[in-house]
Amino acid sequence: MLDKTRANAPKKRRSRSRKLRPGPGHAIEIHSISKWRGAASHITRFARNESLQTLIELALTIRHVKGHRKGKADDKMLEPLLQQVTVNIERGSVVGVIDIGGKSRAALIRILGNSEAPSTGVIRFFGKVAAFGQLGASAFPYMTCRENIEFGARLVGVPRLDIQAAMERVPKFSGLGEFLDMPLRRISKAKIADLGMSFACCLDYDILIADEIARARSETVQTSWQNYLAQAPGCGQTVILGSRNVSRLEGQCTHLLLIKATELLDYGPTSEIEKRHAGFLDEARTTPIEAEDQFASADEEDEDGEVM
Amino acid sequence: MDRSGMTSQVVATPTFVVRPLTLNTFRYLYRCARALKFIPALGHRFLMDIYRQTILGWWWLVIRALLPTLGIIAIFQHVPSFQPEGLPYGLYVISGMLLWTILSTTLLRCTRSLRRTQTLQMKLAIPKMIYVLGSGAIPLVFFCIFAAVLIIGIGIEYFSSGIMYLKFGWNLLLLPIPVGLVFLLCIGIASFTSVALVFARDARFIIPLMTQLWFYFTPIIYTIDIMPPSWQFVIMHVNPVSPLIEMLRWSLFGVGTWDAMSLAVSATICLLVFLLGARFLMRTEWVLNELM
Repeated sequence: MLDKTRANAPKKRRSRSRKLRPGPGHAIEIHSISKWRGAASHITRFARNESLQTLIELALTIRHVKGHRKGKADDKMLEPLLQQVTVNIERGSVVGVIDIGGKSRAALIRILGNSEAPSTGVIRFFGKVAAFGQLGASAFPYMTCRENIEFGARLVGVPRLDIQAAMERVPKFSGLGEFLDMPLRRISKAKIADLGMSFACCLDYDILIADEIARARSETVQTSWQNYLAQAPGCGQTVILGSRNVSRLEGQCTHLLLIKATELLDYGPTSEIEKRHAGFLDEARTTPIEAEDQFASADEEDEDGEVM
Repeated sequence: MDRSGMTSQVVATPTFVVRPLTLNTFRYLYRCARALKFIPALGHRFLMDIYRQTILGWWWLVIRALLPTLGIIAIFQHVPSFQPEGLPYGLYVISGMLLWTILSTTLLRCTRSLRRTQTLQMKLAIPKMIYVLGSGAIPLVFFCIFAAVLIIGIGIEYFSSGIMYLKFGWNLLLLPIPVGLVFLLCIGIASFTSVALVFARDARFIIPLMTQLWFYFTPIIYTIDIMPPSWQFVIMHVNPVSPLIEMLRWSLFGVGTWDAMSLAVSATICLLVFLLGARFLMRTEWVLNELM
């Protein structure tokens, strides 16, 4: 008897953690973001040549760079990457970030993807964020591709349920289902990149942030990716893209964000921007990308020095 | 993939906010507290580093934790002056190692944490303290192993000699205090040493040596009564771990000498070292970011 009444009782609605109210209409608010990097400082010198002398020099100079955060430090010490970028990005826009040289673009997308803290300013996200740059956080060659993707996503704080749901969609999205259960060391890098990209799209979060994502090698992934971009505005999903290939971005994006000499030049729909800043876009197309510093930082694998 | 039916939710309050690095220690600790959800996955990663590609797998953790202690018990139980009153020597050492294992493994593992996770740090901008705390998963596992062995030991003593050494009562409530304080102390020290290890690998040779030296100045394998009085004072009031170990033994077995004075000194040292470590880590964070 008791059981029956319980079964018939209306189910209690789950309380939602966030309230649904009419929002401000934009997905990302970027407020006066600046970023400096200590290019000419002794930090770089130490990173190139790790010795006692450079370490002491570094320790002596750090006090001069203390104003780093507020931008008061000596200009020779710090190289600006972004200065006072303020922009609101509407829901459902596919934004391409373009600059000359590629340094500011990379910095902005790294900051948006929470891979790096800005020097000043605040960014507010309205919705769940999937950052493609973060998702490759785990690389254990002896584990399968599926385990690697799942573990990497867990490391950057994606909930388990979302990971499971996304993993079910990955084979259909990418058409590379048979590679998922192979050890990572047996798969080519292009396929790994494709699978990671498929996973980021399959998470189906409100905001997707990606640098250099639009270079899918496999055809299935390429068509799925085009579909994803085409459907995103209708679904209210926001995508932020950066690429070396400016002309490809123009074809994919509804909005463009131009950065000139570390400052925001313009932001708006692609067609308008193309009319207004045709000269700038031409320059961006022809300028070669500066080589980005890549210090080799493989995780060490040593187990000595163990006492007790 | 068909997504024609779905629309993303419109949210009024920001779900995620990116801010610049802070220079306020307490705000930094608050941000660490908000990023605690990253610790389980990080801890799993650190644990996997130990036993990956091994045949024995998880058992390596047990073996590495226990073998040295069993050796100590086997040898030193024959030294008459080391024997405590009213407690078998085995239980005495294991209860001491229960706390010491936290100290030694935290210092060793958390020191390596920042250098081990450099690729991850380039991708995930959370306070560096979280990486140091995340490798605290290893000492936690070691602690659990020793706790299990201690319970087994008490059980064996109970069934063989019929004496229950574990004292049931409110004294067991004091157990988390020494454990927590030692953990804070070690995280504080490891904040300094982990940054040092990023700059110079000398730190990894110094830490085991210092830990070994510290081990002899802590009453784990001997009782404090066998020392001369001046040494007793030094050990109890200068070494912050000794009163905590004595307190742990007292809360478990009702055996041990500790007073409020030495406990206050050691608690102050532990908290101070933790706060200083957090402050140091906070202020060096941008240097580390640029080095990556």
